[in-house]
Amino acid sequence: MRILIVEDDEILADSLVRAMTAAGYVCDPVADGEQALAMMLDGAHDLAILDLNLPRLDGLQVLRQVRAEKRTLPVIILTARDAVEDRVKGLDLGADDYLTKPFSLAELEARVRALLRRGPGAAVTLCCGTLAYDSVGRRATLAGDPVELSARELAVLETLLFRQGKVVSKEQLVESLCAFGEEVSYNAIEVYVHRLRKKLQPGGVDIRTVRGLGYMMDKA
Amino acid sequence: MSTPATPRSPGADDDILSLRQHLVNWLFTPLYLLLLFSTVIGYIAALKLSNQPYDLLLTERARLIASRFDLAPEPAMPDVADLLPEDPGRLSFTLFDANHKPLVGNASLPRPRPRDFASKDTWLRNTSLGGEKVRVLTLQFSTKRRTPGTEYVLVVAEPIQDRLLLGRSILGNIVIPQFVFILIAGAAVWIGLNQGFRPLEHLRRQVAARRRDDLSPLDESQAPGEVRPFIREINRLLERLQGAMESQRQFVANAAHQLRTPFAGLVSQAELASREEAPPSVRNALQGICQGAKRCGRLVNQLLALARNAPEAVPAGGEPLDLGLLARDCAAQWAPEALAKPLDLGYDGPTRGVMVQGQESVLADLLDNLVSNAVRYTPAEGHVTVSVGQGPEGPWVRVEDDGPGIPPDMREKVFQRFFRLAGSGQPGSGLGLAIVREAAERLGARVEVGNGPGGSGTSFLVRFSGLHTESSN
Repeated sequence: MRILIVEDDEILADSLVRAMTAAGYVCDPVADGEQALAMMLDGAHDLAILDLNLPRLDGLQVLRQVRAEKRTLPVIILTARDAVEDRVKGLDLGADDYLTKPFSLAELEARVRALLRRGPGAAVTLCCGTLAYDSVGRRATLAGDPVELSARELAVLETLLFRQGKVVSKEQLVESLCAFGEEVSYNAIEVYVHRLRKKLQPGGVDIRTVRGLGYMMDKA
Repeated sequence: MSTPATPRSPGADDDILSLRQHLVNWLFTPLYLLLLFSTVIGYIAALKLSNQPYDLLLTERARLIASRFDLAPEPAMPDVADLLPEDPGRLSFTLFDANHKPLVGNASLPRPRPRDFASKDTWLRNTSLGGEKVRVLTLQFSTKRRTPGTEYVLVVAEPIQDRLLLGRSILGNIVIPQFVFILIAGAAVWIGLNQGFRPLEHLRRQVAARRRDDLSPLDESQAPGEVRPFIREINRLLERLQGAMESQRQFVANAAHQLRTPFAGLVSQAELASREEAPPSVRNALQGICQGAKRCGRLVNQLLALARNAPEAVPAGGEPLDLGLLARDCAAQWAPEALAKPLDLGYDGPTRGVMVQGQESVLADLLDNLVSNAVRYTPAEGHVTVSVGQGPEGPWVRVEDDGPGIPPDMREKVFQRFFRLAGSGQPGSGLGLAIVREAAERLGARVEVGNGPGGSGTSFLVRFSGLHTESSN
């Protein structure tokens, strides 16, 4: 996997390259807009991390031209500007995700993983504690031992695992079960979560109930 | 639920009204003094006029007595009883010869001193006689028939009581109409002032009804010509003020934006370093750097939020926003931190459908700072609840905790910028609640601070004006 990193602040660019390299990606750092545009149009990268405030060519301009050339390269925008306007503008122009500075590297890594997973043929293994989940084979293991899960439990687990460390609302879980073609009640969600919790707890994985908000998967 | 009266700065109205007070003082005081003065003058004039007929009568009587005396042959004394009033006390007289020896009279009046009548033949004065105030006429005459060429002096005295009575009745006749005039003049001035002040009153209302942050120009079309230049100057001042506030806001926003990238570098480098194997002392130092950088990052965001929520930065109106949805999003964002502490953070209310009107970023700033405060200041094992509801007066959102609470006398102060409660033991900028207040004003909402559930802790209740009917269609 090859990532283009477009950031003109040297210190930040350095940490981005180091973090992404450590995560196993090949990185190409670029510090100005024109160069970034040329490299993005080359089509050699699987993902771009794009700062908006760039010398020579503004990040939003770069993005507009890339999308005008019908390139589907996933792009994560880094912005130091006011979040709301830029988010809307950036997403309108075809950015796939955005992060407001300052951000945590773990957050960026998670977003990169999520975007690359969406890409064609990407197989990703998600982990939490001793739990490992293969999103292609739809198999879960706890400390290497397979866990018996129903299709609905798997769907709930996948949703929670994709957003581990964050609250997932019951509505979102209901949506994830929509594929099964029948109405799923909030009560049913509670049952699935209860069963999952029982099965995963021995492996050091906790599904915490957040009052009135939903559930959060975390290492116990 | 009771609605407290909209707070309005108490001094402002009085200040604006004092011009009228001024005019009333400056118009009424001279008016009353003038009327008082004219009453006194009128009274003095009335007394003088009322004296004249009495004096004429007195002089006439004295001359009659003198001529009767002249007609009576020497040494007989004339009979003057028919010339005197029936009541003998009303007129007393004494006739003195040239040697000032009393000759005849019905009372012994004091002997006149020569200088009193040296130059004239009649002389009038007020004096006191036996405790009674009297008008005394001294008449010097020389007889023509009786003993031609002999000088006599006649002194006639009359009590001035009658004159005083007349004077008083004249005074009464002056004062009562004067009093009525005063009332009429006062009413006329009052009505005139009100009429004259109507445009100013209109202007005053216009100013008083303004939102605290409204710096738009005043309407001068209704104002009288004298006030227009003044309004124009005020409008120019408002314009300059708005410009100054705008540039200050821009500066804060730009500075905060510029700070974000270096902070991102700092945070990410520290995060990378803390992933490396290192001795505990280095790890501690890195952790400190991470926390410090995070705090700075939050401060930068708060400064931006303040600049973003300044009145001149927020366009009027906005869009319908789902309060429940945004409140849940906000609570969910803080949930990981709350659970890690650990705190019981929860949401109570409908998932969606409670609508308010405004800018999304403004409402998000309001909610974020309220929840962030509750999560940070409530000690471990505490409870924080975000609730949303639709009251009879409009939608509301409440963030309550069972933390240390805010003393009642501090509940107004906590909204000031950079104000921090002593002994909270938590790092913070003191900007959170200032942002909350600014944001609430932009949203037309009120923030009420109270005790949390069970009387301990804190509750922030934000009431929105009822726009739900508009936004539901």
